[in-house]
Amino acid sequence: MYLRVATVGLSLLLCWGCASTERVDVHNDTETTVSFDIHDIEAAAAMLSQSLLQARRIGATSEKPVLVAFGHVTNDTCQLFDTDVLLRRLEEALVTSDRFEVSAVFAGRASGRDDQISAARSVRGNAAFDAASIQQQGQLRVPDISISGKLTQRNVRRDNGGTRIEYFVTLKATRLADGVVVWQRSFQTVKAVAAGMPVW
Amino acid sequence: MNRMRGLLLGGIALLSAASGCLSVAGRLDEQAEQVTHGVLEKAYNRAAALAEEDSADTGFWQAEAGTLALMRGKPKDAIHFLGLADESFNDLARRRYGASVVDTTAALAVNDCTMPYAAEGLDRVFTHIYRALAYGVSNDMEAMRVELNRARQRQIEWFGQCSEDIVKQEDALKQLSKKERQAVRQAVNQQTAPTPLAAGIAETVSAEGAEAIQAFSTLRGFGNPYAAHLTGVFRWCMGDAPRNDLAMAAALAPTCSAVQADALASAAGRVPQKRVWVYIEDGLAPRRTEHPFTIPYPSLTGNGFGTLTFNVPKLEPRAAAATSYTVNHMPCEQLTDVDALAQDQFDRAWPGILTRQVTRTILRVAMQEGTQAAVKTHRDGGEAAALLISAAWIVYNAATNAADVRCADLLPKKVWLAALSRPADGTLQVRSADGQEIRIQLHPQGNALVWVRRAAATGQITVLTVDLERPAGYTTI
Amino acid sequence: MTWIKGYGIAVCAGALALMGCRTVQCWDNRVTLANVSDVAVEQVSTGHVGQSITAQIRLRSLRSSPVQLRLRFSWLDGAGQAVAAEAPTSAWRRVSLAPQEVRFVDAVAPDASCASFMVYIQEAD
Repeated sequence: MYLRVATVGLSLLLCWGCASTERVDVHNDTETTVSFDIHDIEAAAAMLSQSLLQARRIGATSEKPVLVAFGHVTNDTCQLFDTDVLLRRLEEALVTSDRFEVSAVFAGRASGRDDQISAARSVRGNAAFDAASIQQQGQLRVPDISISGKLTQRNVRRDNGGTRIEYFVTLKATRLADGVVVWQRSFQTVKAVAAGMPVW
Repeated sequence: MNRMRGLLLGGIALLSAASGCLSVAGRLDEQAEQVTHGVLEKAYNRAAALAEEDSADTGFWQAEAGTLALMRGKPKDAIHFLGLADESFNDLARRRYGASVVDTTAALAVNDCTMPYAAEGLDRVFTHIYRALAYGVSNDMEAMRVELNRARQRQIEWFGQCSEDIVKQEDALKQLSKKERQAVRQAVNQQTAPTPLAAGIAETVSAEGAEAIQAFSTLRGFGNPYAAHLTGVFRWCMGDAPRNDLAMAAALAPTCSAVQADALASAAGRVPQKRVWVYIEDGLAPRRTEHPFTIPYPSLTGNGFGTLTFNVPKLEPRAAAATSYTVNHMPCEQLTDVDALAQDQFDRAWPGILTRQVTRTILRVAMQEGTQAAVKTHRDGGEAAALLISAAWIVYNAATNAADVRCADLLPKKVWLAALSRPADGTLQVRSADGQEIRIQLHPQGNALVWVRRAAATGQITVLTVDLERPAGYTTI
Repeated sequence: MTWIKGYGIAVCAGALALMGCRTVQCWDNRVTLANVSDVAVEQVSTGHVGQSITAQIRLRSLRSSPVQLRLRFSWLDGAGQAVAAEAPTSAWRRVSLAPQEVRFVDAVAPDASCASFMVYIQEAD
């Protein structure tokens, strides 16, 4: 009988430990955190991609899609946040569109470049490879526009001693032919924490 | 019997707490000895092991381990442990936010050293400075920027906390109206240097308020020019949008010509080229040691007046490794007197430390006298009960009597700065007043930051270099 | 009695018509207003950017206090199949309306194969 009680008790304890982890339903999740979290990333990506896709000055058409290079996006916040997470969502929107193309040769970050492009060309002249399958000279393209930007954080002290955390994401697209900015857009989100609470 | 069993169990629990307080003090003594004699690996291994344990000291040992890792020149370990320490301190802040009055009151019954270590001010700024340096050495400039932003945020929060304390405590401000007091509070909270503050004074406050702002504007007690200058230099070299970090450093270190020159050059829009900044962290910040403190008290059982003695922490300054340094024959200037910052921070905490220890002592004496009086009137087993109470009293006395000697004792005593043009051969020769010499070879061609740590005259000297080269194709907005 | 019943039905229908898109669903079946009261979708229009369609909805708040909404556009091709359902172009967006404010929200389709769209709107917590 004692063994039975002990087994039940142990099982309950184990179950109690299991309850500390749960899957979050991101689509219906309403939790707010101090950081620039997944909801902010999705909202920023949605807003910025919509604005970019509708930008008339870029002159992108299905007949002549615009080639985009993603440059550097600086993280100037108190959050250890990889701006790649945001940029890759924007890339997704552009790649899906028939009016834009994304360069894997030119990118501000190594993660945006594909090393296999140069690797595939490094075997030119190597008799072990079928010459017909090797990429021909003069095929790579230079991008038409480059997108770069910044993620900034302002921490503003509130009257009650708490802090307002203001995040600003600013991106701009520059036409590489003449260095002219053809698109720029900002996204903001504000969080608030009570006095004494950390801002990251 | 039940009462005796309860007393015995309580005594065992308090004995554990007491041993915890006493062992931290012992470990810190040992660590201080090891660091002073350059046995950093041993000190680090001990701190790292303690950092893995789950106790009230976990955050403290995580910070110690991280700092020791950087002093050993191991940036990866420093990043790991200092990150854990920061999370521990943040978690504590969240828990304290949720704490009820009952929790806070109950905490008075136990010693400070059995409570989780709550770093603040200087400790937290340096945690982020060190993590930033570790990231910089690892060439992760994005993370270095984030950590410097965090250091700045901690500094601003500390400014705010100190300015509120000043506003509360200064008698002179009672002369001011409520609106003027608010203006003073706001002015000291601002991130600008004293000169811009002075410009804004006339419009908002009276003559007395203006004087108060001028007095507080020195920010000597709690301003950290090292953090401000390091952040400013980083942003300047990386081409980040300018903030007022170098101006802040200039206001906080008015006698340091290198800092003044950097602030002026940055304000004039000049871009640094082939510049090297050498920060030399010398010596060790003061450590806390235990000292007896005696107060008179009236006995509750009518035995007249007696005295109560309990232990409190005091700051014990330590010797510098050297009194001055030169880099390539150029004298280094004192950038930050960390001793003074640590003293100021301790002075602010002192009233709270003393009040809590006095309260605890009075509570336990009242408990002892009350219990003894109750036992005296009890007929059965009175003598045995009295013995147990005495044992419990000794244990509890030790537990609540110990001083909390935990503090950021691995910080430097002083920070020296030299700013110079990059030598053609990339070689730096750092020489101390006591004859120690270090040769440093810089590699790439651009701007660089060199961090030198010398904890004691006989100790190890660690050199780390961060290349502050603006990344190619960098765009600013 | 028949005329009384008919009169009653007419009065109720008129009242419902006057209420507009207040409580349940807008008149345009491309828009779903889920449990959003006192917010009207007054207009739904389409346009083009290049060969991609664009959508614009006009929202009006009938409340005397601010309201926060979440909405998402879903894009359909000519066969009624969803296009790029998880792309940023179909991600949740937040829109805040001040009291009595009229606001335009627009969106562009992810590519030229999109022929129509749907909008789902709910109140944000």
